[in-house]
Amino acid sequence: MTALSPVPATGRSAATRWVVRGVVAVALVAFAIWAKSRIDGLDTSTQATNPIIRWEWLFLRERTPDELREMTIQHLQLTVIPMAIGITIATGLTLVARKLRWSLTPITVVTSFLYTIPSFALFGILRTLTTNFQAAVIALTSYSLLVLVRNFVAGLDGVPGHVLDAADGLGMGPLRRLITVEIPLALPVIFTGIRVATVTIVGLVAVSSIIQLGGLGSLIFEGYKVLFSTKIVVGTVLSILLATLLDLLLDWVGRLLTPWARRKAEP
Amino acid sequence: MTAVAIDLRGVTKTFPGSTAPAVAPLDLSIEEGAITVLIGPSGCGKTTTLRMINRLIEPTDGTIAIGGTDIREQSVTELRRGIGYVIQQVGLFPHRTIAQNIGAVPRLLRWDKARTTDRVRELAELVGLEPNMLERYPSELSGGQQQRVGVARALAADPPVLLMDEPFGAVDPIVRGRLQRELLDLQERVRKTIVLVTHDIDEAITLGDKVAILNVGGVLEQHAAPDDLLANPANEFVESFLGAERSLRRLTLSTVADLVLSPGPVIDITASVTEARAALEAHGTEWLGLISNGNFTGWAWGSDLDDAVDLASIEVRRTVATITPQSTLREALELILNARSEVAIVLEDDHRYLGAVTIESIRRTLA
Repeated sequence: MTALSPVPATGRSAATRWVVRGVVAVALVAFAIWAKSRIDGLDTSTQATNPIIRWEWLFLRERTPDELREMTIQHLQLTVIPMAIGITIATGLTLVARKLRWSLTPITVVTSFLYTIPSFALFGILRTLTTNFQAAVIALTSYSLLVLVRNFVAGLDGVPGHVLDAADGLGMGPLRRLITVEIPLALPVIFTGIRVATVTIVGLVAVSSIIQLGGLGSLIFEGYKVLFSTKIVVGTVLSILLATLLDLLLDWVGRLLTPWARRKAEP
Repeated sequence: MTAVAIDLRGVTKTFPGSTAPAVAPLDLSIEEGAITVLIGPSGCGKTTTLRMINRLIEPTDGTIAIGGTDIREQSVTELRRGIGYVIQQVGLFPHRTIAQNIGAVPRLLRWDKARTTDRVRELAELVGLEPNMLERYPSELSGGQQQRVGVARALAADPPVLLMDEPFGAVDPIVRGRLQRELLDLQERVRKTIVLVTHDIDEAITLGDKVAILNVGGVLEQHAAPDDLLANPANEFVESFLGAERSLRRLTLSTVADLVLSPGPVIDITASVTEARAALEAHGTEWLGLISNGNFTGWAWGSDLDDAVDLASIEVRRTVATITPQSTLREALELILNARSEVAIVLEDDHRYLGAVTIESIRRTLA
């Protein structure tokens, strides 16, 4: 699935999902057992000269857990804050695009343009105008908008016309129809957009390390500066883990909010 | 709530960007408590006309009154909450359970929970839905069941008027026939003013107390009871629209009670054998039905008379083509075509003799 596709991931069957979860679980357990055996065998005097991971840095260095926690929290902040602002702005833009159909094209053009600016450049430019943190939040928010707006609009457009006709015919006002019919029915596509945008932002946060932020990305950045591969690997793995966990969490919340979407007609 | 009439006066609709009106000035009086069917070729404005009644489309000109009140005197949402609305694709809310779907309008009207729950149960029973379906989602129901939910939802707040836009267009013919019969049964009980749009002339004839045939541009060609329409089409358009099977269609609309029955080849058992022979001769048949005190007792061959002393002593034969006054002419014709006797005997309450139906008597009625 491409990052811009406004189609919800309903193609995967429940069976496939459980197989994937099973494989991930087995892999995690295997990794834990292997890591444990390595830790038990750790001996500072018998380290290989230049391994990919120096386990003693990860497990024996006293400051490592605190540093990782701090970086993870910053990474989460730099994901959740831009996403929250992005969802708010995208909601506004979507409502404008619905009311004034002609405005959809300029909205799409502007958000696409923001999406195409190289992230390195955008962080750098915004840095000259405001604080590091605000610059990062603004840049990351702007990257979320295209995916969010497209999915929000597609979600609302996907509500079947006959359902809207019935809602009007029963005597629902436009606002009530939007809140009680259109938004609930658009939720699966809306959530797909939020998930795709979130995973994208988690990845992009790392780039903000060029302006002394970056969450787990700053770990990767340091690793490059001093050619210490352990930091690069740990930063990457934790970043991927964070993206996966947020994706699963949003998927779960989305399913919780749309119980009707799972039930299928009885044969 | 009692049923009300709907009056359309000079109703016109011209859509923006089009020069020809979709509905020409249309005058139509829709009878209260009856089913009025709007039918016509595509482009005749039947759906537009229907949607103007609940203001889903605003007329360009003219007035529509429901029960004598102009529909523009209320707010749009208030008006629509007082009018049932059923569409072809049903338009159930996929994210709401069946109970919530049926209770949609009561919820808009802020009924309390207990009253809504009671009403939902009552309606489910009325349209023939199992109570265990109420907690399911629409996608778990068959097309026919969904359409029943659609009707129940439309009736929830007991509106005097029900608008139905091709309500049975999306279900298969067997289910359609069943839903049509159910609608007629339902109407017996609720007596709403129903306006129904269809493109199926058979459906119009089956369901309509009155049928309004519209021509392209919303021109009303004829507005009459189905039998009237079939017997006396107003013009060539109506005639061609009704199709070549006009007479066959009328057979399903009229009942034996509508016929002038012939006395038939029967004789009272108090008559003499000689009189019976004369009757056989007169009717030109080989058999004779026997009547005792107005009841049909059976029939006898001409040859059975040969040894008889009187008619009462004849051992009568039983099997005979009999029908009731409530049977349709189509059923009568079917019977006659399959009976050697070429007549169908009409009995009331299974025994009282009313007369006989022949092909000739059916032909005379339809002519």
